[in-house]
Amino acid sequence: MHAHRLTLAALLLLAPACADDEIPDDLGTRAEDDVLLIDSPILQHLAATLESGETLRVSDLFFAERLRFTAAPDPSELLAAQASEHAALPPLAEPATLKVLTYNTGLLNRWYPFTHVGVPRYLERRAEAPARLLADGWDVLFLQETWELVDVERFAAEAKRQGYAIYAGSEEKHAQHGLVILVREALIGEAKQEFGEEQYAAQREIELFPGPGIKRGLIRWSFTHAPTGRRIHLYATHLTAFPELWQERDVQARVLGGRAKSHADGDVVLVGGDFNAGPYYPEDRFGSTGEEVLSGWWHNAMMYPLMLHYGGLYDSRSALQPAADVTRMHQLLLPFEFGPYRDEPLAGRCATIPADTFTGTDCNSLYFSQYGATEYPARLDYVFIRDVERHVRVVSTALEYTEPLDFGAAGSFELSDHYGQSATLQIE
Amino acid sequence: MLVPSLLLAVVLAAPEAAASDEPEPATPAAVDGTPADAATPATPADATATGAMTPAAPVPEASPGRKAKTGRGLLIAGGVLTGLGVVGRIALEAYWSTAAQIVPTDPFARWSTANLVFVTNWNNLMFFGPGLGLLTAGAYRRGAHEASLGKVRDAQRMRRVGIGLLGGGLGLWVLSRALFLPIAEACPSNRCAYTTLETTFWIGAGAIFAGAAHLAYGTGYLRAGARARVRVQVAPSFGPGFGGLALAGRF
Repeated sequence: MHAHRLTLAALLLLAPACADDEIPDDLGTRAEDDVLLIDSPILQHLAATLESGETLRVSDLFFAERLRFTAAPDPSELLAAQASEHAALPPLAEPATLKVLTYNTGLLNRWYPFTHVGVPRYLERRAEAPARLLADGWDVLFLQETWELVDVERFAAEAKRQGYAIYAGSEEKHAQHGLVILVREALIGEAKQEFGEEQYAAQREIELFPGPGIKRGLIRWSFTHAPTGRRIHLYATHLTAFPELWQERDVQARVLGGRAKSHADGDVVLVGGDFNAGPYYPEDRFGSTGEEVLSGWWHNAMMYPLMLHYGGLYDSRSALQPAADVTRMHQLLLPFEFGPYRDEPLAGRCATIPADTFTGTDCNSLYFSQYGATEYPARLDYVFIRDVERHVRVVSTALEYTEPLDFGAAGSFELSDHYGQSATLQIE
Repeated sequence: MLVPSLLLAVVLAAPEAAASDEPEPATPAAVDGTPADAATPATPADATATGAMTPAAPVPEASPGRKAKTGRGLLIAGGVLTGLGVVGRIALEAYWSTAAQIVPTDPFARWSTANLVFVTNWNNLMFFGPGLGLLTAGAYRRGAHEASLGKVRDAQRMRRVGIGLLGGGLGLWVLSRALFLPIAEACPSNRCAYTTLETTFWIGAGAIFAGAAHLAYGTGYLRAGARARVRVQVAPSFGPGFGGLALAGRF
């Protein structure tokens, strides 16, 4: 009995140390937490597919036990609404163009106890990436998975040659978040610039230690856009990966949304990154390593609306026409069968599914070699915009760096295991 | 720092443990196959005299039915564990140079420090530390055993060499670990940083093991000899026409 009490006491003492960070400490303190799902055009599609969805509030979405999906949350109306809202905006009088790219460079090559994690062809790709990316005319680049300081130095050297300014956070934390922002120097006005770096409280702790030294976060760069005098706040981020870790990801989206929303309404906020979740998953079960088929994908469809909800953002990809997530997903071979997806990228359907939506897909040879048949293809990378006073117009968006490059003797493969997402904006 | 701690614990604990295990002499025993007389030691030289070649007084080996504590089992067990540690460390080095895909020419990445500490100390704690402890205890017993056999050893010199090697090895190990980050960052490449890490490890470990073995052996040898010299034996003695107690020893 005494031992039993001691065990209980020890557990009580240890509980706070072991407690996860999946429930935000300040949940319920923001007005956005208290919104009924059915009252929000952004979140209604979640309510429609959740048991008792009509009574659920946003804060309920952070509690797994309160969520019983009965069907796939379909964001078609949300995607269409963003396009129609943007189409209704009047043209800008004298806008300046801003070409934005978010790109997961996949420069990952790390070891941890008796394991290696990395994207294939690291050496060849890292030698190529800086010059290629900075020669393509982007004004703002949000980069993820540029983990190593030695790679940041390569980008910095190229940035100097090509007239870019670079920010990658502190040396210590950079190696944990791998984020970089580059801005064409000519666009940076005289006003004071501000920089920020933050790591999310919600983490998959094992990624840091004894894992590959990863701790997810965000970096911020605020500057005044010289051509227009508009204050622009740039956020780069890379949220937690893995479909089963949707809770960490959603909490991170809430934090990031809050940061994006913290700026003056007259300012423009651009959030670029790898968010590791798509807006739509047609079936809850998909992907396998050869044994069980992974389930729980519908929970991953919450990140996208939560990001829009908390940040007051819209999705640049869906500004001109509704993003094609739903259409493209229904072009997949469903229900999932391991054999066909293992044998050929997307079960042989890459030729018929245009490279216009999925930024993480088995159609990318580097992605297939790492994740083949284990995950849905999805739109993981986004450029979100907060523009309360409507100073921005989206002119075009596209997936970038989708084609394999010739790396000489090393062969032909993509520049990264992700495709880039670009947005050409007009800003006043 | 755990290895030095273990070593210290072993060095401090071993003499008493060995002493408590020491068999009580009852009858004279053969030394190297030659009959020996406990009352007439081979050399009466002072065993503690510096630099003296000092065969210890032969100590009767063991009571009938009790196995002599030669240290062989401890030495074998320690050797096996140390061997596993060596294999583990070499495997770790092989992993670093192949599967881990560390780019040799890149600068050392500070993020990997925690993993370096983890994997290297895991091997140390699992194998090298216990191996060192067992080898040290085994060497101590071996020294005591060989003293009992009257083998001639320069035990004092062995102790001095042991202290020197042990101190040097521990110093190198502790310093190279304490200063690893500055050294690694001063290094231009992973190759330099990992070579420094491993070179200091092998040199330090080699010196620590050799030093601990020398020190323990010499200490065991000297203490056994000292015990033999002050030992007094009292035993009942009966014979035709007499009976009483026999008192034997060195005074």
